[in-house]
Amino acid sequence: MSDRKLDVLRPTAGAAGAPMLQGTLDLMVLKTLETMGPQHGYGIARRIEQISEQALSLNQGTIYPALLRLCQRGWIRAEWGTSENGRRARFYSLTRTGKAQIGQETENWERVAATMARFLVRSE
Amino acid sequence: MSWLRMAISRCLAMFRGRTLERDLDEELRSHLEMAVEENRQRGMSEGEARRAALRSFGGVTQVRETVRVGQGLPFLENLRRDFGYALRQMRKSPGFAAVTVLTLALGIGANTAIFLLTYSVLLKGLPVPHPGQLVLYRFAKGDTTLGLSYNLYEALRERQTATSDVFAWASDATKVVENGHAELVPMAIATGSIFRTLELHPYLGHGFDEQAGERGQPLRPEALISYNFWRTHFHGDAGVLGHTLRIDNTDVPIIGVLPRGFDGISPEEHIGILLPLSFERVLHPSGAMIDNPGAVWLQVMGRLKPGVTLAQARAALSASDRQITDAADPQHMFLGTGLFGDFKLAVEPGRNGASTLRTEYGKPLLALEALCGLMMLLCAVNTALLILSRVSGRLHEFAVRSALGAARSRLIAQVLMETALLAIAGLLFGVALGWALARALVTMLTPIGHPALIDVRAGAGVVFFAIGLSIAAALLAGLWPAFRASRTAPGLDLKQAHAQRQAGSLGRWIIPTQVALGVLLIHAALLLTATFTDYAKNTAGFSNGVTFVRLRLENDNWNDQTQARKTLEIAEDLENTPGIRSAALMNMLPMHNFLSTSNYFSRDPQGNVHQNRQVWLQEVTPGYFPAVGTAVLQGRAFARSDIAGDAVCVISQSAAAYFFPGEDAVGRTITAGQSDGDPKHQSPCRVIGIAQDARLESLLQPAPMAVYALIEQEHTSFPNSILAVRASSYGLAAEAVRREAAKLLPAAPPPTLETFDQLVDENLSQQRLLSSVSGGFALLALALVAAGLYGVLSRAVTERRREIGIRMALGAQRDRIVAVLARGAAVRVAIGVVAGAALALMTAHLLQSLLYGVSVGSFGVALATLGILLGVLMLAFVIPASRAASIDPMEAIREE
Repeated sequence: MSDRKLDVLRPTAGAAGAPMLQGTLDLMVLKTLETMGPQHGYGIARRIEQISEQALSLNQGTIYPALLRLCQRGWIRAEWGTSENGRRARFYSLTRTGKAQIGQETENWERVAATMARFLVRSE
Repeated sequence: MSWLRMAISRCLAMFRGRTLERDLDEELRSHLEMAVEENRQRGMSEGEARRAALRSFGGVTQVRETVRVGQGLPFLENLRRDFGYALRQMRKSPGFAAVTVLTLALGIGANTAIFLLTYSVLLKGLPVPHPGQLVLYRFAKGDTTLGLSYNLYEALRERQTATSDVFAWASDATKVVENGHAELVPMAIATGSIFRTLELHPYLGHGFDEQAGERGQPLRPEALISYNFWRTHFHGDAGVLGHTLRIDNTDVPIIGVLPRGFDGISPEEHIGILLPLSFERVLHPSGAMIDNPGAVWLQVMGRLKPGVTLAQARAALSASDRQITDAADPQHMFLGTGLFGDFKLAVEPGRNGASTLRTEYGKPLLALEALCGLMMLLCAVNTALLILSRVSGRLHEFAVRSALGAARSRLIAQVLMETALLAIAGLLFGVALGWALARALVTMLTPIGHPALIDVRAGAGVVFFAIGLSIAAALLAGLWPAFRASRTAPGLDLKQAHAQRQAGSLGRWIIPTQVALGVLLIHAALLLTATFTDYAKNTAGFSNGVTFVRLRLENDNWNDQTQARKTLEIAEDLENTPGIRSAALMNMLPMHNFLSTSNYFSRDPQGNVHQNRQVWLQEVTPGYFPAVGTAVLQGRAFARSDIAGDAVCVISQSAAAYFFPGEDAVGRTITAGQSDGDPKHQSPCRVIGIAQDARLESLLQPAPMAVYALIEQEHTSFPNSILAVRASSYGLAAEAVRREAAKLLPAAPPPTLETFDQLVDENLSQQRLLSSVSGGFALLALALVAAGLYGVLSRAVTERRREIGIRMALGAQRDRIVAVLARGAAVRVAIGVVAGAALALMTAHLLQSLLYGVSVGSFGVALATLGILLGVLMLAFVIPASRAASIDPMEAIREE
């Protein structure tokens, strides 16, 4: 568990705009797949952009290393399929361990966010 | 666990590298297409839509590279590239590759062979569960160990506390088995407790009952057969149970098949049939050893109770030793007196059973292992030298690559890959070679006409050993050159001259290392060979040309006297056969590690008992001395007329010196029996001759003091029918013996014949193994050391061609050039010789116990070692030196 906490605090390289924490993107991807079901890379990227309302200026490309990482951890799996407009695309979906992981990651993130919030309140 | 998954997926990537890359490209393309399409639908023009898509994606190449690294692809790519490059390098110089592979293969092969032997003889445990818990009970005095008598076994079984149970086993019985036809089948007899003690679960059927085979139990003849015997004689038929075997006119039903792989309690044993111990009474109806409290013939093993160590078992045994021997021999008739006076019960590790090979070959094999290790080191060093010379030839290339930005680790990886390929090839050839060598060695150790002594079968252990060895060799041989290659200073090495100077110093450590190892190996080989020849040239009081024969004259209708008479007839008939010079009977085969002793004493002229001791008693017929070739030095040998007269004997030189010190023994009397015993049990005999000392026990044992008596004066029956025949040729002797035996008893199995040479061979198989294997190593070492020096010098000459040319142009004489070269070589060789001599001195004590007739410190052997080594090195020096001397200065300088 402890290594994951550290993970969250390590800034990710390659994201332009607002600095992003690693683990943030992973959780976003997992959450997206949970609500939308199997989805291709472009779909996931667009969804994250929409939800964050452009607050994060995320380079769409950065989700691919994240997707590979999640695949290698066994949390998601990839399959070739056909997109809604008939294009061949790779679809990602949650695995059973991935689904279980979401709860944990969410909890993790909430704890960090809460700590951060407390910290910010006190120092004001 | 996620790191493990990561590692696994990266490994899998190795096999799907190309697919992964194609997939990634397609995925990214499809992503961009989707973005472009969406942008177009929002009303952008084609070009605008594409630009916007690329912008929001970020750097495509960067993402692509990040994912590829994540998948572990560049690493694999490098590996693949190094592999291809290494293959091309090997193809480019097949000579170099062949020599390197051969060097490694020889080293690995020799090591695998010796390790296979060591493994089979010393390391492999019995094929039963938890062999490490097994112990072996012996009756021992110092290094001499004997088996146990049945009485001892019984007393031990009742009183010992350290082992859960013990069983007794004897396997020297080999008898005719009638299963359709007569055949000699190796077999063993054992008590029923063997099955529980060894945790043996028969492959088919069931084992003996717990108490079966014990002396007090009624004998129920039952047999288990070994898995191999079942396959060869019953074609693996499951209906074998209930079949009967006919053994010594007794029907024995088969009740089970022993577990596969278990065919004896030592690696050299391959029994076909297992019978209850008390079956021995059927095998030897007159004089069964099971009923003889003085016969120490049983192998007794036990399994330590859980948690009990060998040391605890030893302590427990020495505490109850007295009680056990008292229980086994209450009157002290046999144990604790006479021959067995100093023998005590002992317990030894029984992991690999009751192996005589282990005691016999343990030390020699360990010595060979050590020599092998040195050999391997030498091979690795030579390989390092070969690769180093290749690398130094390519320093320019490495410098260029390094200047172009190649990382140091990449250069190391590439040289290591080349070494790894060579090592793999060396491993494959080496293992094949080792296999063949091990088989050849086993054949060498196995007495002629016997089944293979041990089963050379590789377990996982041997395979791991060979692989480990190759990896070690490859690292040893490859790391140094790889390191050298990576240390290129581009600025300097790009200038040819510097590169050459660097390369010239490569042999600085290699030559001394090689010479030192060579000194060690050659020295050891010379010592071991000297030992062998010293044993072999000493015919030990016998002379070549004699054939020993064991007759099997067993006929149920003959009584002992008839058999004795028939045996004597054969000997007489043989003596009268043309071409046969003499033939004689004896009670004991010489040089077979048997023991035949009797107590004798002499009286001084005043009639007082003078000397009194156990001596070797050899009972013979009159033709013995001419037949075996033992010279009679004083007095005379036996004559036929002696048989009818008073008791006479011939004694050996050392016995004469002992019983009659400083006096003439001929004509004096010595008496068999105890000097303080009943005169009725004493039998005096007159000494008629003094014979030279003969090594009756074994070539490896000193000649015992011996008394030769006439068999016909002593006995009316003699069950051991052993003949010595001296004929003009072996073929003639064999032919005559077979004819006589067949005439007398046509149905008997043919007699066993053994020539003196075979006997010597068998006696010296250990020394022969040591001397021939170490001799092989020494020759190989010489070749490697010479090749090493030759290689280093001839490269030096090539590289310093220009320098030599300039020196000559400036007026240096040719002999001066050669002297410079010689000085460099001599210093390195001298360092090696000194180091080798120091190492040889330090390891001397390890070798001494294997030597005979020569000492480790022998000046002659040391001188011979140096002579041989320097002689060969001189040859290796002459060729490059003469090339250096014949350099044409003008040509050399004009080059470049």
